[in-house]
Order: sequence, then structure tokens, then C-alpha cells
Amino acid sequence: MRDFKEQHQTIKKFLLGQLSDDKANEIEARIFAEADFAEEVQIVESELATEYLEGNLIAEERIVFAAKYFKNKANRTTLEYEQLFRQFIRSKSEGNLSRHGQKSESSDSASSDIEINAPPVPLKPERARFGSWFRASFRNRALVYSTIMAAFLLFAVVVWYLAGQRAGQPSNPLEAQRQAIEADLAHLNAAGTFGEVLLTVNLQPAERDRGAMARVAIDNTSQDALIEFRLSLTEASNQQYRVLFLDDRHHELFSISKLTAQATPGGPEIRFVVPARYLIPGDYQINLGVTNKTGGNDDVNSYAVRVVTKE
Amino acid sequence: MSLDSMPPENFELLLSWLGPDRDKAGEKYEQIRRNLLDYFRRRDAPDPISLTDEVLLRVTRKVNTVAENFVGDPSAYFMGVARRVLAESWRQQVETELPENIPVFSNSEAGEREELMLRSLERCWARLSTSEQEILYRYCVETPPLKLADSRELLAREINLSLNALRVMAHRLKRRLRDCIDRLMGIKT
Repeated sequence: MRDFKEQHQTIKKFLLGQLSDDKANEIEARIFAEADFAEEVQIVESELATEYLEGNLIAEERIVFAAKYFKNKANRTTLEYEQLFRQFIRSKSEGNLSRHGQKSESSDSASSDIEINAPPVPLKPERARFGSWFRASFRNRALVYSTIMAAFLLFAVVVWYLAGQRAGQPSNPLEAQRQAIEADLAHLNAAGTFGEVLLTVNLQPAERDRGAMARVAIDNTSQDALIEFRLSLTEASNQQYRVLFLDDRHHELFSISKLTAQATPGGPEIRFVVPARYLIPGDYQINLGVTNKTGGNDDVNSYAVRVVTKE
Repeated sequence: MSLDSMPPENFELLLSWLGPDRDKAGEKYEQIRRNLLDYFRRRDAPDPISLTDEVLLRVTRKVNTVAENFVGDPSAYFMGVARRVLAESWRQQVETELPENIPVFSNSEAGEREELMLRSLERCWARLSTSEQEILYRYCVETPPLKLADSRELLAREINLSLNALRVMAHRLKRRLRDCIDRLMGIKT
């Protein structure tokens, strides 16, 4: 079995689109000519995806990876599979690997295409079935969404740097990015009425939804479209409200202030819009607060929403 | 003309061009097909499966004239056709306006798909032998106090493989799971 260790960096650059056309063409030709090399490229790609999902790529690689692998459906599916597999295998304990006992039920005889056969490793006995709790844990895709969010923010930072640091900008680029987003959101929500929205998301407070999470599906071609959020309230106040978006690690992302409650037939609501470009796939918590007399915010409710990529 | 409606003699000729042993030629065909899919996917082509089929169709259609005169590995010919097909698809994409009503999955459909993928993975996982499951588990999951790299080294020693061979093995097991999921979900790959 050949070891392509010395070529890992080149393969990585190839996968991230960082090679010149000539070099990339060379790699592509080699993929077609050498089966071992083609497999190596697949392995490095899979490892790259894992590193991305684990948050282990350096900033530049994360940005490039996200830009490339969220661009088209086929690449997203590859990443989706990596994420699914990662969550799945982590949900298992070593003593609880097989659901169906010792022997493979391999009706499709797929194992025959593996040249290196697995040796008979002694296994611990099956302890419990895991289907339902696994499904629950799978839904908690915390890490991948937070890394995606981090990638987005890093991407924004790079764009900000490339655009040149203008005088008067905050020294922290992430803070600058957040301020830019908040300024945009403040502008969009200033009038209280919105133009055409792509979709409307009605959210109930998290405790009333008993942990259920609303889902918003956005396709990549709708990045400038507006998503309208309607947060249900049990009672309204005349004071101004503020919503704060957090990622699934409770990192603050951005906020919108000076919102007012609206009376609707279904009860009072806080309505605001967010462009789809600020909502990359992931789980979000939305904290709703009311501005108090000292200028601070008193918590009112918390809402949860999951943003997914539309197929 | 689709690949399915291609005369069987063309396909037989294609296989014999890929190698004298029919089984090995079949494997090579599958390898080329996977390389084509990866090629189009990595090049951000809009529909890698259709473009792959298009390459296979074109080569199969012309195989009786190409095979005689072509010198070298047939894979290189597939690669050349793939480049041409990709270039054509970009041109076509520029010329074609997007349809007004692009079909999309609703939230519930996306959730169902996720659920289906998960159920498929559970079924496919059950098809691995318990030793394969354990190897994949130990290759992928850190088990404190050992770091992942250390547990991989330990595993490789236990089963008498080099680290690289273990890495390839884990990849092939994952690949099998992926292929199995695709089959169960009716995804053509």
C-alpha cells in the first residue's frame, strides 16, 4: 500500500482550489491514472471535512473550505454525510457498537470490495438498544453549526481586512463586523414595515415549545432575501425591545434594538427581518429583552430556530 | 440516447478496452465513474451525476473507433471527454436562464430526509461485522485518556497494520457505509 504522506499538503491545496490550473490538472490526471492516488485524495478530502467540522482548520483554510463546500449541492451532501457519520459514531459507546449481534447481515456483499479485511477483534457484548436516544443526540448538531458560524464570521473578517481598514473602525475586526451587521439590521427594521419577505417564521417562547425547534430552510441563491421573524409574546409592553441572536455555543452574534410590540389577532408579537445572508445553517437562540429605565435589558423570552440549507 | 439504451455490444467493447479480465474491467469502470463524479463535484459542476453519465455515454458510443487507435490508459481518454463536457456545461449554464419556479424542499421534507439518512445509516452500520464496527469506532472516536492519534497507533499495533493501512481501511469502511446509504435512499452514485 502506497503512502502519499509527502503529498498531503498538495492534495489539500488541490481540494481547496489553491493550486494553479496546471498543477490542478496534473492532480486530476493522476487521479484518473492511479487508483491508489484517487483513493488518497478521497481520504484527504474526508479528513479535511472532519477537521473542518472539528474546528481544527486554520482560519484561511476554514474560509476557503466553507466557500467551496457550501457552494454546491453535491459538496454539501458530502459534508452532510461526514457530519452524519461523525455524530452517529460518537453516539456509540465502545461496548454498544452493534445492534444486530456478531455477524454481518451484509446482504449486498459489499465487504468483498475491501481489500484489507477486518481482523477478528474480540468485542464486548451488546448492552442496549440506542435508536431513540441516538436520534435525539443527532438532532443536536451543535458543533457543526457553531463551526459554520465561526467560518462565516472569519470570512467576513477577511473581507473586511481586504476592503481596507478605514479610520474610525473598531480595532477588533469581529466587533467591526458585528457593528456592520447590526447597522444593516437597524436600517432594515427602522421603519417597522418590511418589503417583500422570502418567508415568515413564527416562533413561540422556547419553554412553551417544550424544546421543539422551528426550522428555516434557505437556499444559497436567496442570500439577499429577507426572513421575517415573529416572536410571540404573552403580554406586550410599550417599551422598546431588543433581540439578540446567539449561536449554539451561546456566543453573541448580533442584536436588533428599538423594536416595538405589535398587536395581532393571535396576540402581541415582535416582528423583525434578517437577511438570509446573516443566517448560515445552524441552531440559533434568540433572546428577547425589553429596554429598562437604566438603558439595560431585562430578559423576556428566549426562542430557538434551526436554519438549514434548502436542497 | 441514454446509457441504458446503449447497444450491449458497445458496453462489452468498452469493458474489453478497459482490460482483458471482465471483472477487473468492471472494477475499473466503477473507478472511472467515481473519479468522474468526484471530478465534476470538485469542479462545482451543477449536476455531477448527469455529466458523468454524459461522459460515459459519449465514450461508450465512440468506443469502437477510439479503442483501436488509442495508445495508453483509457482513463486519460475519459478525463479528456470529462473536460470537454464540463466546458460545454458551463457554456450551457450561462446561456440558460434559471426557471422561475425552482423546486425546493420544505422544512419538513429536509427533516424527513435527515431522518431517512439516519435510519439508513443505522441499517448500514448493522451490516458491518462487529470487528469492522469496532475498528471504525476506535479509529474515529477519541477514548480518553488516550488521544485519538495514540488510540489509532494502539489499534494499528493490535491488528498488525501500519497506520496508513489502518487509515485506508477506515476510509473504505466509511465508503461502504456511504454507498450503502445511497443505495437505501435510492441515490444514484
